[in-house]
Amino acid sequence: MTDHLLDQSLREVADSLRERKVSPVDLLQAALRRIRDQEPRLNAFVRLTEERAHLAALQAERELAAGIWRGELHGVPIAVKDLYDCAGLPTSCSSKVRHDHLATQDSACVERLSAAGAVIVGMTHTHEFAYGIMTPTTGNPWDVRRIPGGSSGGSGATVAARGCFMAMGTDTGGSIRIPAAVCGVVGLKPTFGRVSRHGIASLSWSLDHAGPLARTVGDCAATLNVLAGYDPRDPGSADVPAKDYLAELEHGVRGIRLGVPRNFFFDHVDPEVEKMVREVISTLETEGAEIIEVDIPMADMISPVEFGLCMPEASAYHRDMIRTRADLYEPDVRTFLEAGMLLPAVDYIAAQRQRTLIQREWQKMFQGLDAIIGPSVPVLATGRDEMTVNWPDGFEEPISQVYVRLSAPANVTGLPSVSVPCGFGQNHLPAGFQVIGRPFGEARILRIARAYERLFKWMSLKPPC
Amino acid sequence: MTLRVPPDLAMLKAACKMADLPLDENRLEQLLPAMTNFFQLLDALHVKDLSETPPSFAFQAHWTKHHD
Repeated sequence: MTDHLLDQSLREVADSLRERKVSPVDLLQAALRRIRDQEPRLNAFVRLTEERAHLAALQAERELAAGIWRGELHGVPIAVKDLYDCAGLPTSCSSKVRHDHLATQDSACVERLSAAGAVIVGMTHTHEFAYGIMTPTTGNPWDVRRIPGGSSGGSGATVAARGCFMAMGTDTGGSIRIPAAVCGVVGLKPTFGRVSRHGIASLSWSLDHAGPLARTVGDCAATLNVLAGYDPRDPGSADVPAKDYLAELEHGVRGIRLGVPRNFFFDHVDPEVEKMVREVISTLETEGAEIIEVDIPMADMISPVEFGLCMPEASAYHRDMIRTRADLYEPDVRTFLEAGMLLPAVDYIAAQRQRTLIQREWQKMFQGLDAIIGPSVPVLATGRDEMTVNWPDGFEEPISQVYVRLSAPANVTGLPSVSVPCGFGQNHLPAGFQVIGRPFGEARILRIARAYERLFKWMSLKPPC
Repeated sequence: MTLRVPPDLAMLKAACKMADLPLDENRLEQLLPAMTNFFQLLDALHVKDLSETPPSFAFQAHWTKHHD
């Protein structure tokens, strides 16, 4: 009876819950039925958290019946990536290495989501320890033979497949926006420090971000309203006041100054993807945005800085485990971790110094701009066994670099970025564009994203899984 | 700027010893091509003289005059 509600957006179903047209318990049961039906094909979840979810749904039902409404996440089925601690449950990071890890308390995000009344139905698969872009455990709901992206691949897959209404991801080089783009959902990486990472297994302390994947821009904004805020338990947390991220969502783009890169963001990009993103830019211009061409500074330095920071930090986190449990890691992650152990400290410090220069140059580039826009990723979802992309000019690019290349700038600079679906290419596979904003400019990039989204209802198309 | 010499097995073995990372010969051979690629990528960090540039340990949101 309630299964059709799973096709609604988070904000739509929130209205149904608040008006008591649907019970949180019935909605949870519908979500669990959907997930169980899809799991043999998708394998998006490491584990379902049915007991905890049932208690949360019962509590929401009692509160809503008593006229207590905690906000738009109250009674809504959601999921978290298997890096987020949930008290009393394992956090395995989709790895055999962490099979025996049991969380003793909730991560900061789980605390906030639970306090908002959200119903956490399960923990989603990640590329092992968030160190990769393929999430090989999981299928893409548009074609299960293809990758769902990563590292938050399980979150992207289940949100696209309408197993739940929102799922949390993490993003160190694009791990929210990559699965969002290739699964056809919206993914928001907030400004560094905007959302606490306390209680989330780290990949790289200076590049990690936490954020939501959902089916609409408004759903991400509503979730950020719950997540944003200072947390002294996270050393990277920013003591900057949070906003109402829904307040300017419907204001349109008239007068918005949007930078369109002349270089980097459209280099080595699938022509089909480029065409769709150029159409987005034309649409936003028609809607009143002022388009300004910009040159991306220090573009060649993005990948060296991203890897120069991530590899040593990840290896420092894993030092004891890689020395004692190396054989339990997947081969690709083991190679990255062992290599990171052998990098000289001067390389790491050089990456930090180059980041200083990149941030200065990007600040100059952003003068007079609200945001810049480009593809989220250069290609559509690739097959599980495709390890490289061969570009027409003969350049053979490893798949990990292909997918991270356009998303890493927002990690190196710490700037907020949202990926939004913008159509379908070959084999009916989704593509996405990203809007990168000024520090703590989440409300502005969500507004720009929404101005496009409300004209094109890509979220109404359902994957075949 | 001088680019570093591509690593060989002996260099890798010495680096592992310094890092207290026990890898057998077979594993070292598997790791060598990856290390060569990573060093090539990271050599770019040293192409330009960084002079007095300080490190940025994490994102510093100091250019926030225009928050909204």
